[in-house]
Amino acid sequence: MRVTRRIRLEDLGLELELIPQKIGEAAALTLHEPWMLAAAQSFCPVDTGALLGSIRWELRGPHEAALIAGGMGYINPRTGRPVDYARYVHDGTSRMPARPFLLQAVLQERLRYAREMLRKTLEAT
Amino acid sequence: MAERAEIEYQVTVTGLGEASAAANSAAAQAKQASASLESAKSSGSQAIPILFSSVRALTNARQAAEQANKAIRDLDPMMALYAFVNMVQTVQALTSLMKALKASTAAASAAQAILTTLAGAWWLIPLAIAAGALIYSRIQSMQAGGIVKETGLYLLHKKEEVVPNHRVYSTTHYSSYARTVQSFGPIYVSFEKQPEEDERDAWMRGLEERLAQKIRRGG
Repeated sequence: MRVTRRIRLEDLGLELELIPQKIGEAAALTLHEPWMLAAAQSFCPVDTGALLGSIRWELRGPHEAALIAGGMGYINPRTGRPVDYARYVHDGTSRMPARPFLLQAVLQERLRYAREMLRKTLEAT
Repeated sequence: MAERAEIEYQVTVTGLGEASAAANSAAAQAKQASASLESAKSSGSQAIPILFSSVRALTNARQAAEQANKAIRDLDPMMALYAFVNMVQTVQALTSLMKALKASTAAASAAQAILTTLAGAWWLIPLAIAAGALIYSRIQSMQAGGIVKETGLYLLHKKEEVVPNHRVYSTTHYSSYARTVQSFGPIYVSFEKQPEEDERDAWMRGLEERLAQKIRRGG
């Protein structure tokens, strides 16, 4: 990545003052990218596809988002019951090993978000 | 029930406050640097004091630059943030040096050139100002001419002549003013057979006279 910007020394102070705003905007824009969602879906074990279909990425604020799986609004087509087992699949039970598909996605993609925020900030300056 | 049915990971962007504070601090330092350079341009003084702190500041500046470069190369945002904070601290440490900077207009222009050739990283820009200040704080004047007393950077002008050290012989002890004598050499003399010590010394004394005569005649 190489971004070139020429700034007159006299304008440098003003340019730097704009950086906080640009960092904030870059962070908000970057959180719209659904990379963690895609990664979680790729890590999720699939039987009927109900759990996979329940994974979602929700924006909670300009700098906050949530990666969610399961919920009462999602129905398993085989059992006809809600997808209320996401936690057990994710964290494991005494009879079943953990398959932390959300955690894996967060760990894998968090640096990608950080890099993208940095890139967007540099582009904006 | 809904809470237990779902599993959720919250993702929050942190560190924005620290980055903003660092940027604001850098902005204040940049304004101060700009004012210092403007002042330097208008004063145009040649004499620049070298501050004792400059060596340490130069080391810090180099480390911060290396850190920032690595962060850019590796695209490591956390490292970039640390490098940025270090750079801001370095710039703060150099503030006194910036105030002392009294470079010529040419030096200030060169500092501007350093700025414009920097590519890619806005957080390196205040560092470049500091580096420019350091470089020009080390340029010494030879306005009055004379012997170069210590190794370093000097501001020279068109048509001034610099004689290499191995060709300079100063005879300040013979007269009240410094006089420079051109010397040639070294001259290697080889003998076909091993000479006696007296014979060799006599031959060398004769050679000195012959060379002196040749040089005086422009030979």
